[in-house]
Amino acid sequence: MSRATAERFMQLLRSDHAGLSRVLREIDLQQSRLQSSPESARPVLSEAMRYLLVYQHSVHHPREDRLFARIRAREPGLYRNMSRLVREHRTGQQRAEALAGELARATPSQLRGKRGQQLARQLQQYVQHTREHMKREEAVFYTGSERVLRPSDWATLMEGSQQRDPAGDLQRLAARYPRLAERLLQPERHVSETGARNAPRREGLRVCAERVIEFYAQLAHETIDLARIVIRPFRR
Amino acid sequence: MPSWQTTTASLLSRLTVKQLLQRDVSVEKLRAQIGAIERLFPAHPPGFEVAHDHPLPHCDADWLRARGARTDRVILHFPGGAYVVRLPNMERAMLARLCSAVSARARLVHYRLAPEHPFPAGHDDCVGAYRQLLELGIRPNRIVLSGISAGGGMALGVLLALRDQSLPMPAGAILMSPLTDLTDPHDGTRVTNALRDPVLSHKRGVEMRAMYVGGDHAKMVHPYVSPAFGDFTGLPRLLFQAGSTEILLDDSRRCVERAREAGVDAELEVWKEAPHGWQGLPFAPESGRAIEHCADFVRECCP
Repeated sequence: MSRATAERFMQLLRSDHAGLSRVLREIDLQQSRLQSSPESARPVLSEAMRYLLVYQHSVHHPREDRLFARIRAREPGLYRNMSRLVREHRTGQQRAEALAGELARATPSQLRGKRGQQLARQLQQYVQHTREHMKREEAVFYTGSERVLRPSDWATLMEGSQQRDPAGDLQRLAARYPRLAERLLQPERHVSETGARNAPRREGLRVCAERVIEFYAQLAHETIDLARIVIRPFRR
Repeated sequence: MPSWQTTTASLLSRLTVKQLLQRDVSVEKLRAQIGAIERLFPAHPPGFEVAHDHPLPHCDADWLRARGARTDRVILHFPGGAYVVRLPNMERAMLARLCSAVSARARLVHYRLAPEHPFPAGHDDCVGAYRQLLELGIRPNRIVLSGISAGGGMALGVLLALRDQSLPMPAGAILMSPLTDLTDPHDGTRVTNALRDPVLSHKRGVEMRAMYVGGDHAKMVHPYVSPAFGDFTGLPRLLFQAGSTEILLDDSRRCVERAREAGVDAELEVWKEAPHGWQGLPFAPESGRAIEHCADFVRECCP
């Protein structure tokens, strides 16, 4: 019974990470479009940040903090690795709040300029930090919380864990975050470099340059082949 | 515009690899020249151990594990190389980056190559590798398949075979610029991207692909050989990644379309001007981002 409860609780945390990963991937994708298409990228990013604040920072992290507190009570030595994770929950939330505020305040023209570039970089860094944080947490999940905690701990932890991640079910997600859910349902998504802008003329020049390189590369290789054929009788 | 690192790699590839692939050279010469790229990569990725336990009956396979890591996620990877050549060091280096990003270990299958061993030899090796993981007690929902280029097509072919053999499905599959149609269709991005693709050319494509089926062109429409012709019903979640200027872009598009028609959760990431196999370029920022996206996907499938 206790083992099943422990597994259910750990599965809950892992499912939260699965939903978070899906949204992080979308944030990374949208931040690269923020400068070139702020009108379409901003609403998706705003909903993604709201999802992070409403679910991941307000439900998932307190759930993990309760787990870490139980571990601390049972085995303070093991907790030493976790104090950093608890700190990161606080700083992560502050960073997410700041980014959501910045996104809401910036005008479209600001997003096309330097401010948009900075914001995109900050979002990218936030995504990176969150991924690293998740990796460190998983290392903790795999290293013995099931060994340390007692059945009564798991029962208490499960009692306060009724809420489920909306990102685990896209229909539920769509009810609260329609633009984010719509993006996640797209069959094809385009990824560009952070801060990339639409520059058709530059792209045209690039295509021309590629054709010239292709032509001369072929010519050079054919010349080398021909030279080899001509030289062959003399080398014998 | 892509990063300067990717732009430089694309330029060098256009001057060398692409020219080599469209010239009339022997398989031995092709293997030797493409194999020269291997010198850029260490045989053992730093921080990882490469083990050869649990050998397969007909081919080599490696285990790749980060030292000291504890995980139950397994990435079963099929390498690329048009079913004719292989770059094991490059594949290991890429897999190591994926494994560290998502706390997983990897099984790299060096399936038998054509023309010495035409289809179904390599395909059987890969299906056998998956069966072996199940026999070792690894739960299917902790396994994610992955493959790059021809290895991506192989991964899809293996999924179709697993479904047909009523074996439990893995949690998901990552298909990096997969080759999914060996019939060489003369339309779509195979034509429109022919000049823009900095790596692949279809000038010798037909001949090289014919090697895989031992010259039996009728086999080219077999779904295990060209999964784009398959029925995707019952397959797990699929993530495709392809570059916008690749001739193989439509191979991914067609599969995503078929998969979604069959009710499979499939998505395609189109990376602007990324060259074929960019995920394997450790110095390119786009490669790092693409690997992180793959890691996110593994976490989504194998929480």
